[in-house]
Amino acid sequence: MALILLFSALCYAQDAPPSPGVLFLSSSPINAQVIHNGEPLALETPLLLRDLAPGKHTFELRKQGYPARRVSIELAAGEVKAQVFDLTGGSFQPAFLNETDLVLAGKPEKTAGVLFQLPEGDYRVRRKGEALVVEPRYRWQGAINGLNISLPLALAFSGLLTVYDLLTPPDGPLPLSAATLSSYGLTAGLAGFDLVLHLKRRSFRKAYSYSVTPLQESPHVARELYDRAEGLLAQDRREEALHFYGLVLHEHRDSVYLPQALFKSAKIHFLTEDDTLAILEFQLLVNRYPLQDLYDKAEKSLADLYARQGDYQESLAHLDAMVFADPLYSREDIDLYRCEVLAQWTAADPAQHPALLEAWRALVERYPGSPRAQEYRQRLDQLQGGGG
Amino acid sequence: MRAWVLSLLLASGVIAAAQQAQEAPAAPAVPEVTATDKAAHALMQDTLVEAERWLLEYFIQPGTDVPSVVLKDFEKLDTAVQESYFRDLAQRSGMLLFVTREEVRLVQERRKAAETTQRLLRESLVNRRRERRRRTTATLFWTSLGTAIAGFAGSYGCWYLSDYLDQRYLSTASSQQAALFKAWSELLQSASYASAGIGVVGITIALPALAGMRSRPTSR
Repeated sequence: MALILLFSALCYAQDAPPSPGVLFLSSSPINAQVIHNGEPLALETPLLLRDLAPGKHTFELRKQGYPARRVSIELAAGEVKAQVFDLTGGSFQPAFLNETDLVLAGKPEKTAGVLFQLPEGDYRVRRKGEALVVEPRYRWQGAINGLNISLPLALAFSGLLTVYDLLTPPDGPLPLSAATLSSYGLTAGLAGFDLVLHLKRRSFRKAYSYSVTPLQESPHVARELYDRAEGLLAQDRREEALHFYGLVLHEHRDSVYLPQALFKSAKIHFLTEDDTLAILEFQLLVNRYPLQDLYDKAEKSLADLYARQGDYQESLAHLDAMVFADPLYSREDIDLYRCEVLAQWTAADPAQHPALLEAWRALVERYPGSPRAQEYRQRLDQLQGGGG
Repeated sequence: MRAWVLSLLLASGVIAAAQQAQEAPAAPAVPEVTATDKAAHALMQDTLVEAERWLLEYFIQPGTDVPSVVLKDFEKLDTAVQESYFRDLAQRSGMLLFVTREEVRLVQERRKAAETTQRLLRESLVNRRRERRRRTTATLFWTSLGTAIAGFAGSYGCWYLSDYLDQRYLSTASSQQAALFKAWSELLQSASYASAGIGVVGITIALPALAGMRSRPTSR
């Protein structure tokens, strides 16, 4: 009998699908479009992808003005992983706040209160009178400079070999030796490279573009506002902190600080017992801005808020939605909290008693080695005694 | 329900206008809060709280799409709050507007999903092709350049050796060795011409490959 049971258990284990993986996918800046295994996703980063089959997954992240990123991620069965992609490579953002006159790529630019987004590369910066002149340098400029020296030398060398061939004609079928022919071939090749590089340099200068954004919208301003809000919150000046978190939310849509600011704002409203607004904010966070370090906290806060409002079913649904990516929460703690929510629900509606009993029973069975196992068993016994 | 919220909006708008009319220009200090102000503040706060609850209960909790008309209503409410001097409510109203705007954006993103999908796939395909072409061109360029350099170097080397063996052929006393030097010299001379040819072919391929090389693409 035992053998049959073991065999059937093994068969079941073989047939059972592997537990799916969970992936938090984010980017810097956020709001990038995602293509997963060739299928575009409806929502933008940050994303929480549940029910991913174990194995290799390919993601392509695309955002206007940034180079596309393509990556492969390996997920094990039941694994919870987080991946953040930096899309900012390929450009940099200088500000020339102390300059009155700036000439950038041949164009005079205003410098007050603006930030330039320039493509990555070499630049030549020099002062011309009062103005600061910044010129993009073609990537192959060094090769052009080298060719300017080597081309006349190669030509002179070919000439010398020609003279030598004229003075001592070679034995071969041609009037010029192979070395002379090679020299002319090389010279022609160098001249060809020079021409191509000059043409490419011209098209590089024509195609060179950059963008100018107001300084207020730059990422460092978002960080400053967020840090300022954090400082105010540390001093318990909640209203002022809310103002600065609000500025991050309203003015920096693509900032990586937006989800953090939204979480902090929701947390303040949670503490000030503005429950409805806090629920709206936490709900937006889990639906639209799920980040590994915020998602479980937001779900737990939603569970707390709904329990506080007496909506126990909704509270339990939010506990079920947790993925335990945050080391702050263990499954055992949340299972215990589920029992507490059910206890509150049972107090309000005695019909929930069997569910409460079942939850305690599951807790006892799941965590027999827990230091609190004895306490769980006592609570279960009490409930079983009380519930008849 | 919408009519009810709109009436609240209207009430808040009227109050805001009344407050503006009441503002005394000659007031030396912070205006004294009157019973009317307190009532106005309480009404506006209640309006905000009701609007939040309305959004949660009718749209967010049931998972219903938030229509853009709700956003317009809340924008009116926000304008009324911002125009009043109840600064403590401005933050709250701004947050309600932010949440609503994000929810409306989510709906719009989902609606545009099919269109976005097509565009993304097209762009991705074009980008992948361009990237593949870039890599192929780069490989072709560096390979042909290497071949050209090796060809020209080989040509010079063979030419030098051929010349050297030719001189040895002239100076050697043994006829057997002379024949050997002559044969090697001729062989190396042919090899030097062949190498020069390889060099020319290499440079002929490298030039258009260099002209066709592109930098990495950026999303548009």
